Amino acid sequence: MENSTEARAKLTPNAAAKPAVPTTLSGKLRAKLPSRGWMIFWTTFGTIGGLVVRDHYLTVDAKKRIADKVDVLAKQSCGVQDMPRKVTVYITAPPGDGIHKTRHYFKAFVKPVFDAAAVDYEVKEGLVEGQIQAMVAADVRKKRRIAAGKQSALSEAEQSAPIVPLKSVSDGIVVLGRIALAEVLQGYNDGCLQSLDDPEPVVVAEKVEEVSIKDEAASLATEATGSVEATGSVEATTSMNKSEDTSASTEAAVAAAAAELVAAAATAAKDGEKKEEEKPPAPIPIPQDEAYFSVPPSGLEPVGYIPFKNLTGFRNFHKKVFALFNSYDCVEYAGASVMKVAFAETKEFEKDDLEIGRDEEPLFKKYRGPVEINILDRVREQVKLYVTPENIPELKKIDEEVVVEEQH
Amino acid sequence: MSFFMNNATNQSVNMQNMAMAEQELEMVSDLFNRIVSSCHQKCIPKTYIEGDLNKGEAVCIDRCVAKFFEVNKSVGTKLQQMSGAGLPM
Repeated sequence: MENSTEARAKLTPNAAAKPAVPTTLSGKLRAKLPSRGWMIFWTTFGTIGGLVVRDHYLTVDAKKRIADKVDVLAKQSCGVQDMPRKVTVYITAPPGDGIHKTRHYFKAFVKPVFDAAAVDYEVKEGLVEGQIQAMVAADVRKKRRIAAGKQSALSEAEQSAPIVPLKSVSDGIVVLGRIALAEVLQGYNDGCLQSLDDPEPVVVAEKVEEVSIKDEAASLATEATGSVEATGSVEATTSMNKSEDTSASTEAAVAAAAAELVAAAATAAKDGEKKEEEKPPAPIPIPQDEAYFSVPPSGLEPVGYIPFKNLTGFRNFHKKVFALFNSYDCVEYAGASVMKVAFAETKEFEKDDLEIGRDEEPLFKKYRGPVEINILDRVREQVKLYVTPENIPELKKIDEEVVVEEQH
Repeated sequence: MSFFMNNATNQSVNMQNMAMAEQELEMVSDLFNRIVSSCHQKCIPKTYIEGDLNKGEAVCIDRCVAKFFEVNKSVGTKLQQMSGAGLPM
């Protein structure tokens, strides 16, 4: 024994300098493994690739699990004259970020469930703030007008056509994120409260006298309030020098529009009269008041809320990396809400439901404050919300000849 | 691409119009047959459980037909542009 240690000590003169902990792999192992550079490469490549593949498998599994639950709806038979169910999806950009985020979220997490459930969808984007509100309000108002007989259900071309093809009618509204929800509910509010008559178009005089502009602007500013509310009793005390044919009920509304026009005209008049002629008249807001309240006969479409959290900012970078490699939980997070929409079980929209999505607000507090929903109780009571179904219909089995059972 | 041109005013049989109408009929029926075979192949699985279409297939067929028409229209306009510009085909 001692001879061997002495022999080993002679062979390796630097034995004393050898550290207790080995800093390199043993010679035999090193001979079999690839070089240090390749080891580093394969480790990083393998780790990242492994995470991606793992996430891919898990998302595919998660999507399949959801699709299996929802398949029941897709396998229902569809009559020859029936159209599949259709929903309208409203998306808007999350604050501080682009709309491409919402588009991707929709395509990756919401669309697969719709496809599995055979629910047709139409995506409407709100690129500007308030656009969704305007679209929804216009929709509701159009339905009210058709019901009141002021507008025909068929468009001009369709009226003269011999056969009108089947059209699918939107059966529900789906929103992604709290901001879109607020806009849709406020759009419902506006849509139910707007008057059914279109306001008279304003005829703008080509020459606006500069002298009276400032006086008018001042008086109109005091007259018109921020919100557009027309009350029949209010008459504009200031006589407008412009030639306008307006009915008394719309004067207050026109005053608000005129204030904008006057301000615009003032700047334009300074530039020159030519510009004044080229500029198109500003759109007139439709008067809105509780007196006009009515609901379309088919009711307001139920609303389905899909939570959408968007991480922004440099400090959330680590969270984003984590989310990138674990996107399978988003599939379940969003998928559960989309399933509620697919099964179409609704409940009344209560006051507490206005707080849906509050947990998303801290994420964008840097860009905008908390989202408040202004909706009258009268309108809110007409709205419905999609909820988790209690009874999921089971598929009819042909070989067993069992009638559709309801699974608890 | 117009479907069955409006001949309401012209009562007499015009040979040129007849020929054009025949050609258009042929094009439309060819388009229809292509749509039916293509969308059937893509949307309807080979094993039939029941005679009616189910909702999933109905949605698939709607989208298939819509896409087919879109592509047909855009390819048609593109070909028209190319032939209008006189490019060698």
